[in-house]
Amino acid sequence: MNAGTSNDGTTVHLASPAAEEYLDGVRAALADLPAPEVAEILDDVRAHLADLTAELDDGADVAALTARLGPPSAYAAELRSAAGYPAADPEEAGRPRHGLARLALAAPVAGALLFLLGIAAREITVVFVGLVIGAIGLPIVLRDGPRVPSVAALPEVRWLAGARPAGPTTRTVTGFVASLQPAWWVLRAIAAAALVVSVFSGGEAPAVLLLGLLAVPLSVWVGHRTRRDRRLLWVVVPLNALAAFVLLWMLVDGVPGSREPSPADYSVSVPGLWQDGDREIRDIRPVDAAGNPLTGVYLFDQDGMPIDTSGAECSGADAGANAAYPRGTWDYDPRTGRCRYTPPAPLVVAVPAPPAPGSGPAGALPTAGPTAGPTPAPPAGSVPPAPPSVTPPPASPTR
Amino acid sequence: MDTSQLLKGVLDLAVLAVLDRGDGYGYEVVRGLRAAGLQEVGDASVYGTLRRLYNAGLLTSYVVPSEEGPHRKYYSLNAPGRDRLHEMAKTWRAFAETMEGLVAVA
Repeated sequence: MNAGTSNDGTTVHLASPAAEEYLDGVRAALADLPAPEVAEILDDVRAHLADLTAELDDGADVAALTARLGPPSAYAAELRSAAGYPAADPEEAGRPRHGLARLALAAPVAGALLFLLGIAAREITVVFVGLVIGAIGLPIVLRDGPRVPSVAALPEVRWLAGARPAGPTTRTVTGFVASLQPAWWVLRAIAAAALVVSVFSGGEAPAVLLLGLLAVPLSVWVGHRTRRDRRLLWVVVPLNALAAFVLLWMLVDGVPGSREPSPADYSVSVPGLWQDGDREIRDIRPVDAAGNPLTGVYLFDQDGMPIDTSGAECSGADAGANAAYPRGTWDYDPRTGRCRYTPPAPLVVAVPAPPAPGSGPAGALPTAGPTAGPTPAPPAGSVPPAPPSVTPPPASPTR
Repeated sequence: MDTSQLLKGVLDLAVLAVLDRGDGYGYEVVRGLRAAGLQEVGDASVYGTLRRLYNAGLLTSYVVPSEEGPHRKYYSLNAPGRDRLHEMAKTWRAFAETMEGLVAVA
């Protein structure tokens, strides 16, 4: 379907792409006139061209229209003189449009840069400003024809198009890359589906597949449409960049939102006290420097917060979170469905050997580890005072 | 003699006369002029003339949507347009009479 937009926003159907191309030529030649007037004229001309192409039947290409009406510029000049508009100054006509066309081209580039910058810096305001600036180009290209003649006429765009190296090899390469385009249409549809699913439902793979099946035909349609109407590039290119970004992300991370939680996630969410994230500490058995078990010990961390070993199940059982160590352990009994208390069993531990041989062990140590611990100093210093010096005194009396 | 040169001076009158017979869109006016014998009239000239007459307040326009193809903008003569047509027709008759008298001798 071939559609153009008239001045009042209604979409009208055109008979042929040739008519649209001829209309672009007329539009370009009238571009110095006020936009509403140009829109009115083009409404007439569009209908005129549709009637002519219908008269010319299948042979209605631009050459046939030109043979019948003269070139678009001559048509525009004749219309101009009959309507009493000032004649176009051949030198001045192109200038103001170049400015607008440049803005149309520069706005999305600047917008995209700001958008990326905002994402990198996690500044939502910058992202938003980037979006707004990027959108400035849209109304300008929408006033243009489907081939965006005003932008294509820019010297720098012409230079870029001309600078492309020609030759059989490059033609083969560009032809090959162009033949891959449908594959990209499919890929970006999957990326869009993955993005939508991950935003709205946490990213289940079947949902991505289902939505992808719907998105692929749409993406292919947009792709074909964009080949004809280059104005769509102003929307499609940023979306393509987003799709490429999502695809890269999927390659690195799997389908967004669906990856397995890592052990690091567990250590944050699982209650209780854990050693290195994989060994649960369910009770603490303090002993003094000689290896004698201590009772009624309160433990605090570097900030004076109590250390609590009670986990998720049975944590609330009688002992409470503020009991002294050793506490014994609470286990869930699947047979009775209740929590069962196990008092601290007798335990023999190896205490690191004291550094000074003079201060011998107080009692008969069962197994005095001959190998010195990693830090021999602390045990000797921490023996005499019962409350550790770092512990703030007010913490324990309140409990 | 080149008819298109003559046409330039009377195209307004010709277009107003065609529209006086009934409302029409641009290409209808072109065909009306051709059917009346003005083969040399340029399509773009007619469209330009319609715009000028419209902007001068002599015509009104309305849009008729079309099933296939773009919608058509119909032009219609309003009261000032009709006045102008009669005025121009009077001038034209006097002018044509004068010319006829002049040319009859040749």
